[in-house]
Amino acid sequence: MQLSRPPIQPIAPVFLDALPNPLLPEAVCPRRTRQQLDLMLLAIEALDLGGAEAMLAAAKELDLQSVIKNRVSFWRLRATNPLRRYSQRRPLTLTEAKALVFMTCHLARRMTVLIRQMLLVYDQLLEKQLPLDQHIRLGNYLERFRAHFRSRMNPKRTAVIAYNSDEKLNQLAMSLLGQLLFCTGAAGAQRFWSSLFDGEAS
Amino acid sequence: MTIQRQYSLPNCQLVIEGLSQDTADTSGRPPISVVTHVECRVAGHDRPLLGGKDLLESLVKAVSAYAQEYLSGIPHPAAHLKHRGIPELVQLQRIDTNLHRLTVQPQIDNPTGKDKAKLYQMPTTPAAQLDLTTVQLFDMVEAVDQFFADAQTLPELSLNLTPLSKRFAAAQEPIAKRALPAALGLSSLTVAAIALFYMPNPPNRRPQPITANPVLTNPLASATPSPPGSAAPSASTVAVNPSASVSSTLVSPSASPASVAVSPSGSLSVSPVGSPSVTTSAAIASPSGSQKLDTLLSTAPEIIDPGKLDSIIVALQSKLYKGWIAKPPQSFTTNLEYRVGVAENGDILGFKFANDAALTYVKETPLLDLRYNSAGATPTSPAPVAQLLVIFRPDGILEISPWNGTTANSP
Repeated sequence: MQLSRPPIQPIAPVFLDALPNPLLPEAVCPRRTRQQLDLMLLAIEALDLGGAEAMLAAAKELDLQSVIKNRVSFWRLRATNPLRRYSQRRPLTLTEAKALVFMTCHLARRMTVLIRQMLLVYDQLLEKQLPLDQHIRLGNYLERFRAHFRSRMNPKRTAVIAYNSDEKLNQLAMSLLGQLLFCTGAAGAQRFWSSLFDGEAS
Repeated sequence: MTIQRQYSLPNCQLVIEGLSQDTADTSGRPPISVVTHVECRVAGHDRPLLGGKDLLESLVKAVSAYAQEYLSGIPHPAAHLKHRGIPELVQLQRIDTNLHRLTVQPQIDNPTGKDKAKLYQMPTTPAAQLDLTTVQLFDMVEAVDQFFADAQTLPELSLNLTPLSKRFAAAQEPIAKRALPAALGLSSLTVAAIALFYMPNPPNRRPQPITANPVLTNPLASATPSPPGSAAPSASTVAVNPSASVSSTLVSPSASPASVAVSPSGSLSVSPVGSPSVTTSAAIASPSGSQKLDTLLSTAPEIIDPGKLDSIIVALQSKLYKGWIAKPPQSFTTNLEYRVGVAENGDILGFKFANDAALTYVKETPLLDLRYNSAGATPTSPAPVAQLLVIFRPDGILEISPWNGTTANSP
């Protein structure tokens, strides 16, 4: 049976236009953008046990439901990350990416205190040369991040093989945590958005 | 009237003092349009950064660029590069995973204004260095962002974020590293070319007719290049290996057309009796059995019923197309014409070359592969044969038509 074309796509919220469209050869997100967006969300999930639910709730709060309709469509957006085990071969449009950026910043802002605290603890532990899992919350975050990363990323990918040890994954988790802190700022969404296309714009 | 604005974060305090040109606006917050003094204090560092407008402009530019670099991991030129040979006033560098070094160069050019003279009051020589943790850096970025967001302080300065273009990403790898693969490829090509230059050309040997068993030898083998694994090698197998099972691959035992005789000296001779079925199987076995095809055609009844011919043509066409697609791309430029004998079920019993190109490029057609293999088959009586003209066109189109044209009684 031939299905008729779906009805006209619901119009994306106007506030997404606050982020300017970068000058790209094609109007879809490059590889690094898709990868970074998914990893940032992965870090949020590792920070917050109910992160996945919070993300869907945030989509509702931010009125992003025209872009992120449900759990499945959200997963499909995140699975455009090429490192994923079940990576989707669909493109990620700029509108979808903007929605993910706003969601990331919204969730990061809520956890500002926690993120700051963990980064300060990280500095102290490095200074005293103590193992990172000395601190319970930081240790939990790192452990959950490693588990999430290993269960969802395709171990055959070269980029994933590069993170073959706990130390390397911890380092990735900490750098993502620092990047999340920058998302909490006044111009966090703009800064994060612009950084996503570094080295890709023409 | 001097106005002071403060942007305070837990780890960083940015203080901007300036004058308002807009004297009319006395209510609320008058905008600062001229900066006289800038102070940036970072927690844990006793000495603040002091300066004027130059420091402010350079600071916000470097901090903003470095924040982008931190987020993307791609070095941002505005954060560390020298500007026309003179290092930027403020530079930021990553020195560890969680440490960032902020360097403030002393002013080099001659100060012309009163505010620039204050730069010399910076107590550090030659350059001030602050090591910031990630949280401190973030607070500094945040102070800068709040300053940008404040429309009443230097409204002409605003946050301007643009992604870096491709050339900056490409510049990450040094040119020597990028040129290495190309150089390596080129030099290995040269070495291979020199080595191959001294190698002798391989002699052009045509396949020799096998005389060990003249009965089984294909009379055309010497004239036509026979593909490996076809008549000539298999004939030699029979001649060398005196076992009945091998000979049965060529000559089916149930038809018993050949008399196998083992001489006392151990040599084996196989001679066909001369029944029509033998002729058929021999023609099938030979890839270039054009003469055998003639024999076959003269002995077997020809299919002339147009309905049957049509169905045979259709079956043959799909078969050949499938085989042809699996072949590497063809190199011939003229039509290859073959006269093909086809059984009623679509099996190719034999074929004959109808033009010279057909002989040269026979390996590019699927005919040899699709040739009906006689092994194990038991042709009891001459099967009816359809004679077809098959043309392989260089543009990938296959034309099949009855050899004798459409028969008279066809509609």
